[in-house]
Amino acid sequence: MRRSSLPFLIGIAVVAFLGIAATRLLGNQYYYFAAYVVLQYVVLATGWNILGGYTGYVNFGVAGFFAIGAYTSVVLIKLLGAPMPVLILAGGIVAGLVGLGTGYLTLRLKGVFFSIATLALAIVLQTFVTNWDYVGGSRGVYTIRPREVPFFDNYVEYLFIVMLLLALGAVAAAWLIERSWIGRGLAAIRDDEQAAEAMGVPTLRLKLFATTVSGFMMGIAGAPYPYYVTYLDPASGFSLAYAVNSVAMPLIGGTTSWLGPVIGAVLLGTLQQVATVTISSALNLLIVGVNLVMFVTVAPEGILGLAREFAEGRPGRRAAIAAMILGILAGDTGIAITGAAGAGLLQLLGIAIPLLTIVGGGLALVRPGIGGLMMLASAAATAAVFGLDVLTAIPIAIGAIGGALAYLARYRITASAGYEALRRA
Amino acid sequence: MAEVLLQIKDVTKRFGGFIALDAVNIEVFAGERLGLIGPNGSGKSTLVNCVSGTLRNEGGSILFDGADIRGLPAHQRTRRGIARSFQIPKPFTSMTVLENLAIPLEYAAREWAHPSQVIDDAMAILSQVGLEQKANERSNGLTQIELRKLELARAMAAKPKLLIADEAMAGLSSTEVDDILALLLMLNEHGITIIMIEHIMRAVMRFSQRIVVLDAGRKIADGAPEDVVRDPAVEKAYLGE
Repeated sequence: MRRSSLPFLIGIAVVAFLGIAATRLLGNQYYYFAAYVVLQYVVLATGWNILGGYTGYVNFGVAGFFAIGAYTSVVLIKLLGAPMPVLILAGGIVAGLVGLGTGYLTLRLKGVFFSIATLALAIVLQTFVTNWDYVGGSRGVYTIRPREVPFFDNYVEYLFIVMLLLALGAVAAAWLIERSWIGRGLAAIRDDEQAAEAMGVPTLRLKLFATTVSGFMMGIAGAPYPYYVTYLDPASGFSLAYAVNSVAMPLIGGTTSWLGPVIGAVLLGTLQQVATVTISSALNLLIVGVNLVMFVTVAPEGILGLAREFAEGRPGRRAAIAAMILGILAGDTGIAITGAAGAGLLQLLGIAIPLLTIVGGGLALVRPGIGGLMMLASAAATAAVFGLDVLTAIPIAIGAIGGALAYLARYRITASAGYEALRRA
Repeated sequence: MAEVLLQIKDVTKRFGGFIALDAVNIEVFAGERLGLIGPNGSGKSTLVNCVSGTLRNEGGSILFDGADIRGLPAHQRTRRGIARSFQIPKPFTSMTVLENLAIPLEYAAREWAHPSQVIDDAMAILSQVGLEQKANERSNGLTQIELRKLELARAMAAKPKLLIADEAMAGLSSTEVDDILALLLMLNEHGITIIMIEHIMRAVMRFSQRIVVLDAGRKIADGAPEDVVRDPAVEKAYLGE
């Protein structure tokens, strides 16, 4: 039940150190610009998971809470020229209070009705901001960055470090909550709310705690955003992408632990940043969508659930899990690499073939034969259409190994089933 | 006579126009074993829900340990010493058997305990019900009888004064029924007052010192088991005229 907290604390310290060291070594500004977005999703996904994963209440209004953080900053910058720590604290507190209020009004709703209410909240807030002239209304608002910040060569590096610290703080808070009696109470609510209440868990108070903390985290994720984009309008502040990504990332990583949202956010967030450069930003949601469908249908406990199963499972099952992970890996890197190739039909193929690999990877878990065949076929198709070079060889090799593993899984599963039948006969 | 632990006074519960409980009066004495029976839909579960706080009764009052508990939410009633098991087992499925017990031990049992103390307490309860072998298994892999035992073990972990066992034996074989009966009798010997709601008459007759019969939301009989089963009103409720 209890594990040592030392590895976690060392991990946090190492990541913080590496981040700060990076700003002294890496010159290219783009990396900070991209990493900021990934880290922002670590905060958002971790925040979402406190309520959605730990407690079992799915919040679709992520964009609303994020935008509360961002627009609180806009107001404070215009009104007082407030410094960054004040912006973050204020954004978090306002979003946390809105979370608390929303919780009071909506937590009697169960399941899908709660989710719809949160979605409605985001829309109401967007309408409000769109019609509020002081923060720019529908025209949007420009935010001028301070000319210089102490200790940093330029402002993007500074924003990167700020978001890194916020991400580490959010993850540490989630880790603390998960290991405490509060986390166990939240898990009891998720499993069976009526039983939790009957066992002495103050369900309403804990759920309000979860909505408040969750809102706070999403708010602090949005607080530095006006300085990051420098031009903020309601359409980008309230973008549906925040909701989709913040739900998808914990689901893909695994919702019952602090690590799940981190894994999901780093994997999908990085992939989206790469795809934005190589193909287009419009493709981001397609990638997330395909990965999400795959996980929700065949591995609802996410990557962490698969890892647990892998550690406990039999050889056949292990091979199938490895095949699935490889298929998804091959497909995702494939999109980033071949999706960029040429235009028209060639680009279409460059996206379609890797998507097939992802689907094949998902199938490998339930129908290893068909899934393996799909992975092998799309590896061959990639080679045939795009030829073999250093870059295309990566998805081809991963996909081929995955396909072969799926076949091994199929053989193992049939063999063990045959053995069982023989033993019983 | 021993002191009154639970006093249900004129309790009335309506669902829209339907009167589920109609001015029910029941007294439960400390240390007693009370059987609560009645045909389907007679209001047994509604009464349990009103006592444990899942439902609010519109009329009447419920006194536990001398204090009116009517306004209290369910979790505070559990902390005061009213624990219940559910008719359909409701385990925390993402947790192990041991962790299932840690929830009431941390939230309901009255004194603060160190984590290692929680584990020791949970293991002690599990060995009482015979689940110690399953302590570290996930609760969604348990059999029906194991689920029933976990349900009771979890209620025991709340360290209650009053335990309400809502059909804890439904669907079990006769040896399994004996298992659960022995467990409940053992708890009673340790001073826990028990209300047993059951359809299995053999179990109710053996267990109860007193039986209360509900029919259509009214109390129609209250007395010693032998007298109650011979009561014409009870025969009429179960068999018709």
